[in-house]
Amino acid sequence: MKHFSGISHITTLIILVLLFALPAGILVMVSLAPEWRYPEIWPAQFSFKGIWFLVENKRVILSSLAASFGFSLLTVLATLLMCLAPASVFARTCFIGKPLLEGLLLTPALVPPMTFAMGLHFVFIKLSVADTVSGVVLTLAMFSYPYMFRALVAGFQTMGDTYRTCAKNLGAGSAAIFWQVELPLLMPAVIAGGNVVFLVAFSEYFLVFLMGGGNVASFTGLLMPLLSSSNRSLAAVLTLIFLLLPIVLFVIMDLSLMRMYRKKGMV
Amino acid sequence: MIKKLTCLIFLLILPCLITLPSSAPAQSISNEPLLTLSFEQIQKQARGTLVRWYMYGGWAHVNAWVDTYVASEMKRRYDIDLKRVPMDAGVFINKLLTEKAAGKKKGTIDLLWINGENFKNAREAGLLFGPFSGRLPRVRQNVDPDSITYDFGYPVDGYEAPYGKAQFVFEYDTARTDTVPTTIDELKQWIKNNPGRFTYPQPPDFTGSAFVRHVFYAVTGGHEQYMAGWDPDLYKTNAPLLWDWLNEITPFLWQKGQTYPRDSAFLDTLFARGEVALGMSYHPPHAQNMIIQGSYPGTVKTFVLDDGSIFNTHFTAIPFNAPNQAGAMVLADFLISVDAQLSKFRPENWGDFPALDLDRLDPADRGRFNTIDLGPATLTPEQLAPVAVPEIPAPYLEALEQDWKTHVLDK
Repeated sequence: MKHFSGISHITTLIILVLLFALPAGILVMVSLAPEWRYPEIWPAQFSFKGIWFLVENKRVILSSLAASFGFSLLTVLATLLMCLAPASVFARTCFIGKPLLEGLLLTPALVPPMTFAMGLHFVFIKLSVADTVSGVVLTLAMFSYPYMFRALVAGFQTMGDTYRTCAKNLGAGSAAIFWQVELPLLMPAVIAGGNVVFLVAFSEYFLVFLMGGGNVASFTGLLMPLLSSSNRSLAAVLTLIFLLLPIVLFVIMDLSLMRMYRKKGMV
Repeated sequence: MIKKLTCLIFLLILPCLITLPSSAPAQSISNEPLLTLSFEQIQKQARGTLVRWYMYGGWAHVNAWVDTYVASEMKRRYDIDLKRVPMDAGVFINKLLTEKAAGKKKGTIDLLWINGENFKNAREAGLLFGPFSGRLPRVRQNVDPDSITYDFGYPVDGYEAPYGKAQFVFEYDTARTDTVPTTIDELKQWIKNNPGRFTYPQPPDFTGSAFVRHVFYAVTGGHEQYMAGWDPDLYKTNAPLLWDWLNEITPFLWQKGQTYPRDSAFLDTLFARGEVALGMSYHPPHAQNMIIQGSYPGTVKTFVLDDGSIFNTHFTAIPFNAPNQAGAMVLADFLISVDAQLSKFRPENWGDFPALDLDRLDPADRGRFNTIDLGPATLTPEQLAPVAVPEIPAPYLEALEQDWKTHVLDK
């Protein structure tokens, strides 16, 4: 039995490596060897032009990365603010038409962003938030909040009502209940939802472009035109950076969350 | 919920709003106050301002040329800060349409690098400022007015300033391919003799669509008959000849013609990987750029067919709600200056052909253009000029792109 599970473990690992590590490995190769072509199994010659491009354009690349990072984090924050109250209501109460309303609340994740954006753009111009960071954050939040909402509803459901009742009995006010009891317990759900929202916001191209109008820099805005060009090595280098940043973020988040829990003795 | 409803209502109203302005005829005489000023006054007004130039961002070398040479010269000569914003023409046209519908008077775009199809759409929807190009001293001085009357058969009327010239070429690798076809008929035979070694990007890709137009010209007896403008009867008689030609080669194409490269970048990759033997580009220096960049081997050369090779002039335009129209005009004027065109012509920068009329320049300047080494892969203007044929009017282009799908792809 143990032997069998060892084999299945290895198979899973191989499949995961094939699915995730191999493409990344090929990206690394392409970024270093733009001339790599069939039938060469190993590139005949390497070039560091892709890396040079990074060095030469580091100011633009770093500033657009920072911009993308910034508005994606703001989007996470915005969706969190939008969803906390409704998620708590949805998790705790039952009312007529709840499934219908819940379904309606999830539509932004299903409607194609293009349709969604054209209508919103018009409204945002009227409200003078088009071509600003707040416009970009609002649109991204409108479009990605269902992910946060689902995660928070699940979080509230797992938590249940008992902690809140307990805190109330001990004399805590609603602010204290929220800050000291519920929010820490909700953190895993917030992180889970936040990760998805961050990824959606970070990798969105069209919405950011339309709402930011070129005023708001973004990494995808830099990456997309190069992806559709034939410069494979540049596209590969930038895609690697694009992959790396969220991974680094997730690792940092995970580690700090674990530390926080250990400190509080929750694990 | 209410937000969603308002959003929905706006979505329904939007198309009506967008189509409204297009029904009003575009004005050809402008009442823009800026255009009554002299160019010196315009330059003075533009001093110390920021110009945002929205352009296609997929060519790293072109981006670098704009960010370094153009930006520093604009600062040095006119004290203007230049910001390049990468955006595809389709996207900025959409943005402008919505801004027009919402009545936004002050936009974000100052100058556009625009193509013929989008120029026509933008003009018909009244999205452009002008006519301004007649006010630019270097356009008046250096450019042959006949070369900028039409953009894809649509009258320019001064709403665009010339920026560069492009012409269609084929690419091949001398290390892999010895002889190349010289006419469309030979090309057909060559494709049949080399099954799986040729393909073209799927229209409406810019390059693939241009390839189809070459065949259209060649198999229907030349380009002259189409220059008068859209003639549905002529199109109906001639188009079947094109579909026959294309369907005849389909089984011999890459992947037996069951699928086509999505865009020209995909074809470039197939060519670079050696999967197909012939590449194509609407930019004569493209192969040389790819060699410099390290994507193509140094043995790649370009060629044209004797039946003709389509050329066009590409342009810049200014949106109706550009926040800095004066600055945009100064930039458009600088781009057509001898210095900028010369710098753009150098293959290490870009290699794009000048839109100037070299005969109008003084001999010293003309000499500067003649001494530039375009690199071994690029054909010289003298080799390209004899086969140059003009672009087809836009309605033909749109019809060909749409019908290609029914008559070739879905067949």
